[in-house]
Amino acid sequence: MSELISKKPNTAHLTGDVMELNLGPQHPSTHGVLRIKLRLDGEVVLSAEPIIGYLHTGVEKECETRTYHQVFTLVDRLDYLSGPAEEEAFAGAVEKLMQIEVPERAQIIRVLLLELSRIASHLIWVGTSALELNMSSIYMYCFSEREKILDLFEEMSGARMFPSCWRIGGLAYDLNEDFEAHVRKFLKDFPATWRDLNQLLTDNYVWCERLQGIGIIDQELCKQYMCTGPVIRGAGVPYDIRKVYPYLGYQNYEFDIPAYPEGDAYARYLVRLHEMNESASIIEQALAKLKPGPVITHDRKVALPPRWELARSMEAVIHQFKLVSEGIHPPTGELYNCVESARGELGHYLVSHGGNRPYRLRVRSPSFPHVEVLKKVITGHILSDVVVVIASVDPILGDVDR
Amino acid sequence: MGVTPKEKTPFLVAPLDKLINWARESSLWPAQFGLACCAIEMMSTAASRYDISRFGAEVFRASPRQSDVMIVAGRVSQKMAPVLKTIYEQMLEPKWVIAMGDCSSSGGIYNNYAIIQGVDKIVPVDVYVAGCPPRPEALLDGLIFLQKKIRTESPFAKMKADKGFEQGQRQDQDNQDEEEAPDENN
Amino acid sequence: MKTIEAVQKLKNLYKDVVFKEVNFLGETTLEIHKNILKEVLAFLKHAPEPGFEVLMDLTGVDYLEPTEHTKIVYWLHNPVNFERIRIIVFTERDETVPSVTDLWEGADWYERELFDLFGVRFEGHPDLKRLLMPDDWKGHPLRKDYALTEEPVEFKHGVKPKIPSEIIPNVRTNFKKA
Repeated sequence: MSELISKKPNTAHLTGDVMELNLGPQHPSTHGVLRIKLRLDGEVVLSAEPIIGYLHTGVEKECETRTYHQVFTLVDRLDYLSGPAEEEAFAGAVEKLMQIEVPERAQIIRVLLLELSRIASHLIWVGTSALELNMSSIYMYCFSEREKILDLFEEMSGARMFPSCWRIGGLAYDLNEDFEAHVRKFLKDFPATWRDLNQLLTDNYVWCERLQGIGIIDQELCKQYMCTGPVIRGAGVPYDIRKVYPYLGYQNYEFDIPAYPEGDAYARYLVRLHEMNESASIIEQALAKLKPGPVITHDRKVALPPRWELARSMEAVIHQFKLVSEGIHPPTGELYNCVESARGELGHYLVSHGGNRPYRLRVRSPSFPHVEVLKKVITGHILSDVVVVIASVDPILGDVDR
Repeated sequence: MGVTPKEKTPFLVAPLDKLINWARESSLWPAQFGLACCAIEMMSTAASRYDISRFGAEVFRASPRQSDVMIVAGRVSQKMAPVLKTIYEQMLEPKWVIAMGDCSSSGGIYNNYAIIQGVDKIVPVDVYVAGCPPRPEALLDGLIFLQKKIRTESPFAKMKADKGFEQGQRQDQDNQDEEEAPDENN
Repeated sequence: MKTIEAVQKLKNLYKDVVFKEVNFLGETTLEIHKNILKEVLAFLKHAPEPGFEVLMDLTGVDYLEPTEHTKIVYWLHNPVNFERIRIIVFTERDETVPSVTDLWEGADWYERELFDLFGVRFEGHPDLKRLLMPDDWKGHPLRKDYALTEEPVEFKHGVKPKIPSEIIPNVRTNFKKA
């Protein structure tokens, strides 16, 4: 195995002053294991070829061997910064296929968790992008704010990053009594942090110089490469799945879609910064709408019966047995359900053949075309701007490689 | 630690083993090898709430040549395995490996064609930290456990043990060749 | 233009070819033959009336019965009135499919992924090589006859555990249509 180190690369095809550099799979940018083969002339990039596959997990094949409830934990860990969005896409697909009505309280709590995870994901983005430009105190501010959100997730479900509390037909458990008070406290403290970040970064000379005019992705390139999310909103198109194909009652919430026309990394930064604010206002509206009620559907073919019913009713025992030992049986059909994750349009294409396992689950990840568009966008920049471009597009390699 | 001051002399005397071990365990600089979700928890451990630099891991070095411990955080796929081995070999002695999370310890929730079932198939692991992802406190616990392990080992025996792993691998390969020959004859 | 009108226009243009159309839960799926794939997609993309300018997803589904074939799925999106349409094409194991990289440059990696995981070859693709698996990998993982390759968990004392994916077995009920 030690021959790997002594292999010299074959440089016969390189002519002149062109140097081939590997921005390798292990590099200090924390965006995951992405490898970009750069051809440089001095410091200027002549061509870039992104190479992925270093985190390929075979999730799509694994989902074909699991029941519908087991798929939640698999699919959670794809886009590991917005796990709730993945769960919602899958649960929404199955609920549409089986035409199950999710109770209103469950919808509101799902919106709450989705928006909290969106704020957390954008905080990580701001923190790590600033860290790559050597502003490490912003990394500390963002992560300490994110810890408060992770405390809320832990209160809800026990797990910090992946609150796998989605079930088909609703949620696994209800909120406890203190949750709303803690969310309100978070909402009270969050604007101060947001103002700090805004003051530290938005008019910061170094930040502006490094981000403005870099990595321009315009509308035409977005159409060719099917970019969505902050990338297309940074190109001026206010396209957001929550407004266009509303789910979970988003049509009843009032929020804006920030869009900036320049198309450079700075525009995408502004989009994400202002989206955090909009998410905070959605959370406040959700808290105001919260009313007591059930958190999972009453349909016993889909959701487990409550424990007290098992002692009283034979059908409940049979339903429990069937659900645990076999799972649910959606009808035959294929369906595409999309959700706005922090990165763009996250879609789950579900093909069901009537059994207790999905026949095929395809995850249309938002970062896949964003990493593909890098081969067009990086050329012409200098080497130190390559890091900025990759960061501004916000790829998550777990989603890209699946 | 058993430090004995001699009277009226401005010297501290201690066994060499203990001094070397103390120096090694107190400034373990990790090599960044964050792959997937566990990497985010590793970043949280390095952030301000669960500060990992209190325990000596001051900076996460990007280059393996400047680091002591490799925290393999995340799932290792087939394409990434040779890269992992290369980075491990580029680290200088003495080096340790912490397998963080279920996927690097044993394959985790994925048992399929794409994920290596446990990173100890490629590199020798000293500490396994369980969890999916492990809490930052769990990673700190793993780091403290590693420090305890370093405190009790003999620094000179460790180098022999690492060479033994390499030789053991080469011996296994030789044994495989020997085993195949009789089958051909049969 | 709405999807229904676009489908009607397509049927008028290609009168002699049989389309199979399925409307399920508000989504229109059109099955066509791969000979006319490029013309249909170009019509749906360019002609200002349908205006399905964005290819949101390009994926495949593998089947073993009646023959081993793969279904390629194109999911088109209209950015003006937000209508969507799904076009599907069937291809056998050794047949090739025309590539759509000249219509959408971003389809490059999607087709490479289809080649990598399903073994479908695309003619006219600039550089068809593996994307997610290592370059020297044999086999195409997402085909239905490719095993999941699970490693058995070792237990002591002669205990033989079940295979993880068989702990909850595959149960097929009657094919109930919704």
